[in-house]
Amino acid sequence: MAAAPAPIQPPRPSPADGALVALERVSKVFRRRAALRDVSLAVRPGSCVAVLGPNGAGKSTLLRVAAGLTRPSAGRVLVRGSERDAAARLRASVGYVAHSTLLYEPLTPRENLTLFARLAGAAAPGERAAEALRALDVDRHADRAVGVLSRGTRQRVALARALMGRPPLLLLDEPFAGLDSAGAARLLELLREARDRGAAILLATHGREAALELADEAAILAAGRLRHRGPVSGPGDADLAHAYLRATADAGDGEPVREPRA
Amino acid sequence: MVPLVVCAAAAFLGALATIAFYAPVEAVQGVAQKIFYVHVPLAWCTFLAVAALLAGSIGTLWRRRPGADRLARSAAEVGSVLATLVLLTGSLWGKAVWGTWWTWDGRLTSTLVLWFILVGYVLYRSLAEGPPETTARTAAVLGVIAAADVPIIHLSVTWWRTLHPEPVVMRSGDFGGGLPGSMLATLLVSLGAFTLLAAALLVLRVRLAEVEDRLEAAAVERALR
Amino acid sequence: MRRWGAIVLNDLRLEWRRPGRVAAIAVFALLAGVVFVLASDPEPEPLARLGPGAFWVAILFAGTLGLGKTFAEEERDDAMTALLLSPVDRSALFLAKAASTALFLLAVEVVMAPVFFAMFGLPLLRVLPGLAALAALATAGLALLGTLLAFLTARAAGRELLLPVLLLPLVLPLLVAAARGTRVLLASPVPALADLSAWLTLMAAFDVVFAVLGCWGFERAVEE
Repeated sequence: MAAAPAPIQPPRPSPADGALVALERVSKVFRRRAALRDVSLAVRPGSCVAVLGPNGAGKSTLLRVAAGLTRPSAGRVLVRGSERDAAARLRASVGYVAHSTLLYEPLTPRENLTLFARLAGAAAPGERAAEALRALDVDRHADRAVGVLSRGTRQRVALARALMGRPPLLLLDEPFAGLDSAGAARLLELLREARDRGAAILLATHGREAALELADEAAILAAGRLRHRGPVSGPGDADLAHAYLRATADAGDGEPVREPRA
Repeated sequence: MVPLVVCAAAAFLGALATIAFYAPVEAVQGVAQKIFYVHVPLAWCTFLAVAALLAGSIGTLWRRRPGADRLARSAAEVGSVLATLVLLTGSLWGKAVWGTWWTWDGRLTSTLVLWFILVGYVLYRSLAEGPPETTARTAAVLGVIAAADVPIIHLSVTWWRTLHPEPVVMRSGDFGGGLPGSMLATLLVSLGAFTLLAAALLVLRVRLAEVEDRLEAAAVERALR
Repeated sequence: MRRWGAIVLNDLRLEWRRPGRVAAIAVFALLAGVVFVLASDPEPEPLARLGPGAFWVAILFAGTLGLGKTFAEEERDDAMTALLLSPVDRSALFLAKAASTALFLLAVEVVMAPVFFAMFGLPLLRVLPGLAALAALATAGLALLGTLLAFLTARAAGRELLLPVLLLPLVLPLLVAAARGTRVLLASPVPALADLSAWLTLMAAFDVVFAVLGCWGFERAVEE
């Protein structure tokens, strides 16, 4: 029996085409304050989008919405082009770094990472954890409680947790915070590897330098609104610097919104 | 809405008149027995309120309907007021008939526990922090487990102790078999009137909740502008 | 199942790192017992009457204190977010937290029961098998409902107050069943098995209802 001819699909010209995660006209309101207003943004596999903006611009909220941790007040989140069960389908494939370490403080980095590797279904969780800690160069501290580690080391462990198992989507909120220059260079290297492997990276930061080494595209967020979106030519992108200054100056009216931990 | 309130008010006055002038004075308990015509309908309405709380909670979780959440939180508030009145009228009746304000009889005790549960729900609504949609969902979960617990609590307390007069109305199998006709008629009038009154209260509270939600939505709208 | 076990083991490890918590809760429960004795008559007969109820009330109050900390480690540095982002069933997560809470409460009970029974002059060994059955069912129910309520109240103002206010009325069937069941056990050398099994059945029904509703409710409460 011959297969029925496929119905002709009209092409859908959408910025979200081919994106791993796409936010469409997303707004989020916390306690009557807008953290995001009408933001549309998409990340494709093998690319890195830097979300730039001052403190309180809504970057963290944007990442939480993209991770499926916060439901937007308005707008849609699409995972691989579909809204259905977006958060649940994302779950196995997201590496997320936030302001908090997302770790158990009384446990050691090794115990923490082994737990999360096991929860992710790794065949050899212990080895996966050790490998991730080695990649961030923190295996020396692997057996002391996270709570007693220095700020920079903790950040490295948090990054190791997020990068462990090579997730196809990385949502990184200020990943360079607390890292020394060697750490930042190592992270940059790892992220570049991840992107070249096909990972989609959404990176939020208020410091621009390191992020622009990596980003293919920049989005400037101020007072919850997307003020600029465009390609990045490199760390010294003068146009982008202008756009950033303009956007943050315009946004003086918007009070920064403190995002509650959800 | 206005017709409902007017009907409820009229029915309530009618029921009071029926209780005062039509219902006979009971031989043993005297006039105090007339509390029965208020107490039983109030208890009945409290259970209706719990049913409305359950329905609203399920609706919130299942369909994410804001209207369902308004029903749930209104029903809990109306229910806790009704449960308070059940306890007060029960206490008055107990003083008149048993000579004591309170006794740990099975049904009184489970009503008291129900009062704590309803008040706990109302407290939860007022103390919960976080986005309103999240609170609506977590409160709906609370509403469902509270409603599911009510029969278990009732069973456990009944096993724990039963002193209460066996349900008079239902005793001989057919409805109202144990009550003289005029008493039964008064009870039915009163049941109808109180149900109408509770419904009117609930509708008014839901309207108020609609206004609250519209204010909240307007504030959100302003924030997004 | 493997993931479920991993979360339980992790909780036990956290508890093991700070053994003080079990000890503190057990001490509190014993103190509650002392308070009951001092507020009553130190004669054998009234103590024996009061004992079974006081034992379970002490566990309930002490357990409520412990339950408030169910998600404390997850909240401190937001490990909850990492858990929620793992591909773990919400039901498995809930049941794992409830299981580790139940084990924690059982540990408290094991530590305090001998001293408590001695204080009230009650024979622990004679009733031990029956008491273990009662404790298993009562503790499971308290852990299931308590874990769910701890999660629901995690983001409320005055949560330390709100959790007991919500939990105590809802777990009353367990208290009644456990206290009455214990009294049945103590009443005669050969306990009235019919009475005991009625209370056990009530608690088992409670546990099943709140295991199902707990999984169902937790899944709906975590999604934002």
